[in-house]
Amino acid sequence: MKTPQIFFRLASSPFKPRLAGLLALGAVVLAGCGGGTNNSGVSISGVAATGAAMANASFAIKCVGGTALGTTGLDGSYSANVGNASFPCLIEVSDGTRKLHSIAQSSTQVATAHVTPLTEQLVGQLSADTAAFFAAYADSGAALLTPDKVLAAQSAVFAALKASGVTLPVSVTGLIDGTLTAKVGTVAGNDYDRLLDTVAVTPVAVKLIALNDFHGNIEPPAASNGGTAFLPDTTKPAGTAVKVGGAAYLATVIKNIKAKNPNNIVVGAGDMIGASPFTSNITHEEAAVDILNQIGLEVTSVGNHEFDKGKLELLRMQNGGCYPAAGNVGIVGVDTCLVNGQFPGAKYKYLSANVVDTASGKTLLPATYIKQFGLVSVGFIGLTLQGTPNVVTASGVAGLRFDEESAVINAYATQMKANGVSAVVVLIHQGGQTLATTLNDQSCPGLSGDILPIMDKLNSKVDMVVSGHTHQEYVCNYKGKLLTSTGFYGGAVSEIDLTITPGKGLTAAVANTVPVIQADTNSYIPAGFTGVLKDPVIDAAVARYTKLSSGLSNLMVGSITSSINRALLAGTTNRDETAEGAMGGVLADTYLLGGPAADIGIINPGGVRADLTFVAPGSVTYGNLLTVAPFGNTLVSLNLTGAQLVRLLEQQWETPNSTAKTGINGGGRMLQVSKGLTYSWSVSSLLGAAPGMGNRLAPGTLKLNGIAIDPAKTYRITTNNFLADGGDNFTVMTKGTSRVNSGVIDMDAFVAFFRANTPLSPPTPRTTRVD
Amino acid sequence: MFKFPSMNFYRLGAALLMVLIPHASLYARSLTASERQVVADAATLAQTQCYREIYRDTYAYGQCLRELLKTEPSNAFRSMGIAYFGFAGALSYVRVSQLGADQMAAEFLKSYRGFQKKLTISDASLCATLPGNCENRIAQALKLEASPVKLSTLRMRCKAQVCRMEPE
Repeated sequence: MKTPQIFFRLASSPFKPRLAGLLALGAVVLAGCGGGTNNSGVSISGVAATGAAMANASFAIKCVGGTALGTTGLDGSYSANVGNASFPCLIEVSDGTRKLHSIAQSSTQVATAHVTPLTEQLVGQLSADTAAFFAAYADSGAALLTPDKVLAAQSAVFAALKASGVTLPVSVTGLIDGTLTAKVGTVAGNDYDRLLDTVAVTPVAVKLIALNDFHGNIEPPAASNGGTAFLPDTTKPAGTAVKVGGAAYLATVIKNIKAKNPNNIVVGAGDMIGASPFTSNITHEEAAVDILNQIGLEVTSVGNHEFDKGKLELLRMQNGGCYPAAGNVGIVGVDTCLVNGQFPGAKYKYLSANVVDTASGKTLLPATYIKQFGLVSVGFIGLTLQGTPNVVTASGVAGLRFDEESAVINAYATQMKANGVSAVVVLIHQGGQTLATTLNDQSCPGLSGDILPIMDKLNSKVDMVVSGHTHQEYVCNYKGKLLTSTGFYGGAVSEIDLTITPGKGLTAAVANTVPVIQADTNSYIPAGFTGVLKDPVIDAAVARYTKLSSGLSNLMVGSITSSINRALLAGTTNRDETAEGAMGGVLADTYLLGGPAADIGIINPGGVRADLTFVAPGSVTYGNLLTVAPFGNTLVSLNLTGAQLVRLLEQQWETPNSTAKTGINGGGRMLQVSKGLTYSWSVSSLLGAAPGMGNRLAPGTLKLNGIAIDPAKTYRITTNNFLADGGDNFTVMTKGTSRVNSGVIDMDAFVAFFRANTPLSPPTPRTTRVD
Repeated sequence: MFKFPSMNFYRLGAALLMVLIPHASLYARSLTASERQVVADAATLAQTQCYREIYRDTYAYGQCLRELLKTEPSNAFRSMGIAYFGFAGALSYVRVSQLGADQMAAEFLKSYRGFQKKLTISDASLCATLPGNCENRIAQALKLEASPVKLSTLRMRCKAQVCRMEPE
C-alpha cells in the first residue's frame, strides 16, 4: 500500500463567488490537515452532496496502486492527488451517519467524481454491498469498473429514476462527472442538487415474498400435517379449511406476487431443508435446494435444521458439490448430483450472522445481503436462534459458536445504515405465537414467544423482522416494527410491501399472509382468496425427484460383520420384548449419538422392527434400515433424575407391562439402552408389582460408564417421541423436564450412525439377569 | 300429602334441559371482574409456561398443561383459565394443521367445558378473557364438539420397497 499523498483545494465545480470567503476557511483548515502534492499519480475532485453539501465529511479514495484520505470542504467539495496510482478509483465519503460511494475513471490523469445518493446507487448496480465493495477494493476489483460497465450502471439508475416518476433535468447528463453545485445554507444548488432533493423524498415500493420452515416439502404435505389452512369466511363463523402447499403451487403464488412489482425479492427465515420428507431426504436435500432455486428464493437465514447434518453439509448446500461417496451412497446421478451430474448448490444465499466458526473467528456464512431496488437498497441480516446447539446433533455444530441474537442484529443494522443502506430487514429463525384462529388475523392476538425479548432489544436501525421456527402464521406490528411468519411446509407466504424513500428510509410497511391454495383440489374457497394451479415446470421437476427417490431403497449405507438381531422368541423370528437384543442396543446407541448431546439413549423394544441378517459381504441398504426403523419417529431429549431412571426401568416389569409381553424372561417389556448404561436385575423379585412398587433392579448395579447412578442427579435421555410421550406404559418418561423434540427423524440418525460406524458388529449386552 | 319428587325425577328433568336448551346458553353467567382476572391470570400462566412447547412437540404442550392443572391450587376459575388457554392455543395451531393440534384442542375443549358448566359461565364471557376473534373461536369450539376429532392415525406409505409410517 502506497503512502497517501493528499492535497486539498476548493471545489473544482462551479460555486457561488460570495461563498468563497467562507469556504476558504475550510480550505485552509483542510490544507492544514497535512499532505503534499504528488503529480505522478491521479488527481480526483468532486462534490459530495445529498441535496445539501456533505460538509466536513471524511473521504477515502482507493485507486489501482494507491489510496488517499481527507475531509470535504464546507461546500462538500474535495480534491486529492493519489500518488503513483492509476484509475479506476473508488471513493467513499462518510459524514458519520451515512456512507456514499462513487467511481473515478478517466483516460487522463484527472477525473471528476461527485459523490451522491445517485452515485451510490450507481455503484450499487455493480456491487450491491457498496461498503464491502469499497473495503475489499484492490487492484483486481478494477475489472468491475470498466467504462462500459459504469455507463451501463448509470443507465440503470436513470431507468430507475424514470420508473419512479422522477424527471431527469436536461442539464444532468452524468451522475459522476456532471455539473454539481450543492446547496449551502440558504444558497440553492443547481439542477443536479435539486434532483437529489427530489430523489430523497421519492418513494420506492419494494415487495418481499417471505416463507419459513419449508423443510424440503416439495410435494404437497399431508392434510393433517401442514397441508390444511383455516381461512376466515364471511359465510361461516368457524372459517373454512382448505388444502394448501406443494412446491408447484407455491411457485405459481410466488410468480403471481412477483408480477405485481418488479422491485421484489423472495426471502426465507430458515429451516428450508432438514427434517424433510423422503423425497428430499434421500437426495441429501439436493431436490429441495434445486426446487427452491427454481422458485426464485434469493436469500434466507439458516435455521437449526440446516445444521442437522453438520456444518460441512450446510456449506455443501450453499457451495455445491456431490455428496461424499461412501459405499453405494454418494453416487453421481443416483442419489447426488442429479442434474447433469452436478449439484451447483443453492443459488440463494444462506446467512448466518450469529454463527461463528471459533477457529477462524468469522461467521460460517455471510452475515448480510444487500439488494438494490432502483433508488433504494435493502439490507438483510440472517441468523438462527442462539439455542440451536440445544436442538441439533452435537457433532453437527462442533466448532461453532451461536451468539445472542439482538446484539448481533443491532451491530449489523447500525453498520448497514451507516453504509448507506436504505432499509434493514432481519431474517431470523426464531419466532412467536399468537392466538389467532384463522390465517391473516392482523390483530395479532396474544403474541408471545421467544422472539419478543429479541424484538424488545432491537435498535431503531432495524426496520422489520421476518421470523420462523414456531411454525406459526402472523402479521404483527410489534412496537412499531412489522413482524411476520408464514407457518410451515410452504402452505403460505408473506406478501410484504415496503415503502422506502432514499432520504428517510422505510416510511411504510404492510403485509398479508397469502395461503398457497390448491385450485384443483378444493371444491370451495372462501371469498377473498384465490386458488392457483401448479406451475408446470416446477411440477415436472418435483415429479422427477419423486420418481427418482422411489428407486433408492437399494442404496448401500454400510455393512455388518455378522447378523445383528433383536432378542427373538426361541425357534422363531418373532421378537422377544422381554429381553435385551443386539439390534435394540444399536438403535439406542443411534439415539445417544444421533440427537442433541445426552447421557443415555433408550428405545422401546416394540420400536425395533427387524433384524439385520448377515449375507456376505454384509452390505446394508437404506431399505434394510427402514425395515428396522420404519416409523419416522423423531428424537426427543429430556431430563430424568437418577431416581426417576430407576422407576422407569422398574416399569419394565410392573403392571401393566408385566403382562403385556411374554418371553424368555417371563413377562415384561424390556427397554433397550445405549452403551455405558449397565445394570443387573433379578426375576426372583415380584413380576407385576403395582406401579411404583417394583423392585427388580439389583441394588448398586445401575451405572453409567461404570459410575453408580446418583438418585438426585439429573441425566439427559434421548428417546423417540413415542416413548417420550409415555408410550408402552412408560409413564415416567412424561415426568421428564427440559424436553426438546429435536425434529431429527430416527431413520436419519440411524443412517448417519451406520455410515459413521461401518462395518458394524453386534454390541455387547448392557444388562445382566442374575438368576 | 305433598311428596318431594324423587332424585331420579330431577335428574330426568336436568337431562331434558340439557337436550332442549342449546348448551351454550346454559352457561349464561358472565364472569365478575375479579373472576375474570383469575381466569385471565391462569391463562397467562399457561401461555408463559406451556405454549412454546407446542411447536416442538404437540404432546409436550398437552403434558405441560396437564401438569399445570394438577399442580396449581384447586380453584375452578383458575383451572378453567388453564384449560381454556390449552384449547385456544391448540386451536391457533389447528389453523395451520400442526400435527396433533386438533387432538389437543379437543382434549382441552372437553376439559374447560367441565369447569365452564360447573361455574355456569357463558362462552362469550370466557372467550373475552383471551385475545382473539371470539366469534370464530366459539364457532370452532361448537364445530369441534359437533364433529369430534378422530384419533391421529398413521398409515404405511410405500415407495418402491421403502415403507414409512406417515400421518393420514
